[in-house]
Amino acid sequence: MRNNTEGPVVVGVSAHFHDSAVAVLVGGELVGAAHEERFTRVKQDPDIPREALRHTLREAGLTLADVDCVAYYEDPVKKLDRQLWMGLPQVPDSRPDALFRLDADRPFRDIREALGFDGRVEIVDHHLSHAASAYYFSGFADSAVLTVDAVGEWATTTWGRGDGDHLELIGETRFPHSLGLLYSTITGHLGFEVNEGEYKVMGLAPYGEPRFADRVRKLIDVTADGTFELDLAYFDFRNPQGMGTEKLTELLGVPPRVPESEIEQIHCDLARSLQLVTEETLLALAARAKRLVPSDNLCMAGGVALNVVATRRVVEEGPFKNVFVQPAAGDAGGSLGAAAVAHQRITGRRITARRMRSALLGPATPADEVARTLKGAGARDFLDFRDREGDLLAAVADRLAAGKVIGWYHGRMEFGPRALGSRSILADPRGADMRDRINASVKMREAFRPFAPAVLAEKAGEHFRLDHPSPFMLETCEVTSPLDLPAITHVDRSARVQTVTEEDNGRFYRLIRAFEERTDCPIVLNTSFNLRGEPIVRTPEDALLCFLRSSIDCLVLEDFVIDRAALPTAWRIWFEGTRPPRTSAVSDSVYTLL
Amino acid sequence: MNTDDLNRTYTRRLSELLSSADGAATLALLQKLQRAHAPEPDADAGTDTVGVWRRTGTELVRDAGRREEWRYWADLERVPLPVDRRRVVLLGESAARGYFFDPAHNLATLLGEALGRISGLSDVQVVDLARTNATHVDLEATAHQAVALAPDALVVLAGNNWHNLDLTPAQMQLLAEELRSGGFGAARTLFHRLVVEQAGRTLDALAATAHAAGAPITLVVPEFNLADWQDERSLVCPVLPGEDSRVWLELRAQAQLHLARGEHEQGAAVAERMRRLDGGSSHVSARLLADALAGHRPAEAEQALVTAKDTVVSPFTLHSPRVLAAVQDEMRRKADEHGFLLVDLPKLLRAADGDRAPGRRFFMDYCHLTFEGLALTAAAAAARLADQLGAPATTTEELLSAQTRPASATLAVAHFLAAVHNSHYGQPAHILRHHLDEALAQDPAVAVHLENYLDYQTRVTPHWMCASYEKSAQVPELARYLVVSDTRLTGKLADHDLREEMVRALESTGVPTAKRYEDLLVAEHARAESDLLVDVAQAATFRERRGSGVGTRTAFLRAADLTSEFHLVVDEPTDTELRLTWRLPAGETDADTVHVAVNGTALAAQRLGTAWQNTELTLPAALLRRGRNVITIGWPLRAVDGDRLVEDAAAALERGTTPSGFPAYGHLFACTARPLAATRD
Ligand SMILES: [Fe+2]
Repeated sequence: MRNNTEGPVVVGVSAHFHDSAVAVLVGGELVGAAHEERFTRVKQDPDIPREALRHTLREAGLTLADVDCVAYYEDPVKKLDRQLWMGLPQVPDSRPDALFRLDADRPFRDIREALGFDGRVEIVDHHLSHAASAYYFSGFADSAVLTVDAVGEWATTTWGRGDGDHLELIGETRFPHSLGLLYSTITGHLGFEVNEGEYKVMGLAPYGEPRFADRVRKLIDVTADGTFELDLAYFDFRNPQGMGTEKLTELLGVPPRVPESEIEQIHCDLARSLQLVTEETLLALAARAKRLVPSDNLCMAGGVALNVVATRRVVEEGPFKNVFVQPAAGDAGGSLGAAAVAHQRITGRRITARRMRSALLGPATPADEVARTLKGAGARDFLDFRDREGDLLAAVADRLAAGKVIGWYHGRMEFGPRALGSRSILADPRGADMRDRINASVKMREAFRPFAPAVLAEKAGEHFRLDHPSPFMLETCEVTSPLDLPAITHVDRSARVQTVTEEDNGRFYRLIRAFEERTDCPIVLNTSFNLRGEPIVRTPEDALLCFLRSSIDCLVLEDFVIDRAALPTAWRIWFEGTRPPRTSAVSDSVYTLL
Repeated sequence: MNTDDLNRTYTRRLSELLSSADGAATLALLQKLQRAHAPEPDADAGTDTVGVWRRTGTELVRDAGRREEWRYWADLERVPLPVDRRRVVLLGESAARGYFFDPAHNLATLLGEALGRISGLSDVQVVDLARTNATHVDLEATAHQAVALAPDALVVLAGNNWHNLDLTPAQMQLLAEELRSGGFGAARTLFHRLVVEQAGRTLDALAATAHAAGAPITLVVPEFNLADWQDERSLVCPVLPGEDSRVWLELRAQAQLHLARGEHEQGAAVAERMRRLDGGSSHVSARLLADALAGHRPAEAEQALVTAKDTVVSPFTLHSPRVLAAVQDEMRRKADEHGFLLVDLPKLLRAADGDRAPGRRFFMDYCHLTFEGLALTAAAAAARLADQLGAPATTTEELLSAQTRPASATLAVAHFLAAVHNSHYGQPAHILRHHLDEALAQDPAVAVHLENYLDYQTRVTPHWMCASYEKSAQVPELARYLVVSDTRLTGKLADHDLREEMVRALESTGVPTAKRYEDLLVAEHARAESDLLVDVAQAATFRERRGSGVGTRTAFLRAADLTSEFHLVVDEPTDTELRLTWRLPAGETDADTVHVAVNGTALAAQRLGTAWQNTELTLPAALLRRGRNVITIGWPLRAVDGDRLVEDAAAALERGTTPSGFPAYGHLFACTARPLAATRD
């Protein structure tokens, strides 16, 4: 409960599509944000984020009575318009997966009935939410803004201008012309899950040659002024079997790959071609942004901004001095932007003009709760380092240096798609077999993608061609390290780097430093703490179950270290080889356009 | 303007005109109008799949890929399928699994033993394909798979889960219409008809499958624990039109008062009035009527119990499994039509017990049989099968008389588990006591499982992590029921009544427990700040957990009755701040008085409106005690907006979602307690 009155409490909500989330602003300060899937354990849970709301408000010491406004991240009427149009010539679209989905009242009903909120509701356009999630959290005094995704209501790409307190969208490209959908269509064609497998395609690209680039360019016509259109003969976004037409297969000359089947050179080449055209297009869109808004700064968000290879080219080759990409660039991050826009509408002022520095916005489990939880297990050989952080870090760093894979659980949970040292799996990036080991034992994923490195910020320049902070693992850059780092180095010698500072990352920073003291390597491999198909762990129990179900060597739960050898036999019998219940609410063969 | 531009204009205007709730309903209705009602084709599982097993040449081998489902089925790694033996396949649900006795004993093992006692049938193998939680869909699929085993006969014990219908949009529309015209009572009646119709179709399908396999069916008509089961207190009365809900609640209080005073005639009269008011939609009125009639009009009382049992069945709430009287009748009718052999448990159980309504002698809970009940069922089925399989005629009684008693330890564990299960379905203390006493009487050594339960249920540590759980899980029946991977059955609850009954039972048998239990409770739950909305503080039953049940899942707690209870654990009592974020649901008044009590002593009367309000109260140290304290919120007795809630529920059905039929009497978003001494430092 809050007694201060220094500004409105605004809750941003992203929901009803996939991966719903809330963000809470108090007087223009972002105090918390969380994905609903982490609480319900339903991968990409699209339901109204009732549990994320409860926990996020509670963590902030607030209740629903303190909330002044709920901001919803898209306009349901505009979305309904697009849905009705998509269903043509049928009115309304009556296929099974459209049934009951044409419901523009649902956001209001769910906010009122499920969240219990009767107060002011602000509707913020989908791309304005994306734009605001970038601009208002960039700290820039002014900026050009570019948002690119698959689809929101109608817009799929927008250009905007941020100027002090104000942000406006000044241009757009509309559905069905969509760079995100182009990428997703070919992602599906390559046999990966749509909306999930896009970065696998990006990861596959460096293995290929762009020999299909001219064919991919036939799919998208980028004009001289920096807008684009798709050639719609190649797409059928309503087809539940896949969004490309037969004509697409004909044009590409690459048959659709069966999911989970062998990845061949031709698939790598197609991925590389798609990636290249995406990069060229994004550069053209950014150039247009500069022409429309001649600022030194660019802010980016939307799902396509998660394509770190493409955004890197915008950073390096684009016309802007400074680029800020919202780390939660996908739709979950729309909750941040919607809240920021509502704050501006209520107060006339932008939220605190400071660069977002941390994505550690979710709830934490107090160390004494972890201790209580472990105590019930009775006398075990779990190592207790309470009040001895130095010894804890020494123990963990020793294990890392000895080649152990560590499940690392500490502090507030991350918001956004990346694990950034709170719910992470960590390992020595130097081992030749580390990538395969983690892939086989935890991720059960395609072995072609490297993992990401987390590096002490002050040492980043010695190992990567990177001259500025990259706290959100959003930038890819060349590995220039004198060390051999096979587990985190891509075939094109690139890596997706997270820079870590003591100020923002605390214990995680000190752990890497302890590792460096032992190895002269200021870098650890950092990947998200979850099994394939499961949301990132939230609670100590989630972490323990993931530990048991995988072959991670050691689990660090706040101040406790649990080696695999210390696990009770019964736990291993009960859980080894089992999988978390596979619950997913979202189709992975087509982009859910409803 | 070209066509495409015009289309965009049309859809934009339509979206504006259809953006409201009515617009969404309009679109949904148009979608339904356009949809063909072709049934979805059933995806047939791989032909070698039988339950969780795969059929190889001569045996069934459990499929490792379906490990998460193993716990629902017989706990058998391999099932041999010898070619030289005749086979009886058992199909059914948890009642046939022998819940609480499985895997030590279940209906299949008992049936096998009973058949073994019949001369000439010693070669008959019973294959156990009963599955916990099986619905009619599962049953039909399993029957289909069973054909591959070349059965000589099928035995079916099912029907308790047949109310779990997957409603089609069309059925939901019909329910919406009934709801609008006749309220929840009428919708419930229609739903029962749908359940009975589905039961008929399922029985027809079983008959066709059995016919194709050339295997006759012995159908067991299930029965319910009429005498001793009470549906839990959070099931009150569905929304009534207008202001009837307030009148009904007032009558409930009157009826309870009459019964408490022994005024049975008056009690019965008031219960009848309630019944007329709720249109047969609340089991509470039927139950009160049964209680009022019990002493002097036993036949009518039993009929009222049947009504109470059936009344609970609706799509608008969660409830324990059970079979409708109308489904039992349908089974008899279909048995006649298809020539099934019949084991009519309702008749059999009454005949075995002086024509009394079946109760705890035969039931461990709502529908799961005691060992005696299982043995009787098995004997009756075996007696029917004898003739079919060409053996000399025998009787149920004859087969039963040779039945050996199970080990005392097995009975003790089963009753211990039943106490836990009954508690989590809100059964009264005397039933919990019955099972705990029975457990300890059968085998005093069961005490260790009670002690272990007190440990792992009280700890915040998940069951599976607790050393105490690991010890108890050595017992296969216990590991089966409280299975590690089931977060529902092993989730922590505020089952203090159960735990205190356990403490009492242990102390009475000379096991010193009380002090140790209290210390653990305090160590685990006394906090600088306690969230009283978490399950361990407020949900005594599965149903009371926030987020469980039917209807919109909410970010706040909906009070299901006029009182809500919260359990606060403190160490040494100190003044404690209670912070509430609460409101009244929309209703006949915009504000009313809410009462808060601590351990039965009134603390505050607070004016509350329909907007969220943060309230701080102080719980004085003098009203608190070390260990568990009960904070009670008494919500005002006022009519909910019945007409609006009925319309909302109908609209939800039209949207393809199932609404909750029960009103909320109060809403709580937050309820936290902080000992003030702890606040200061
Ligand atoms: Fe988006």
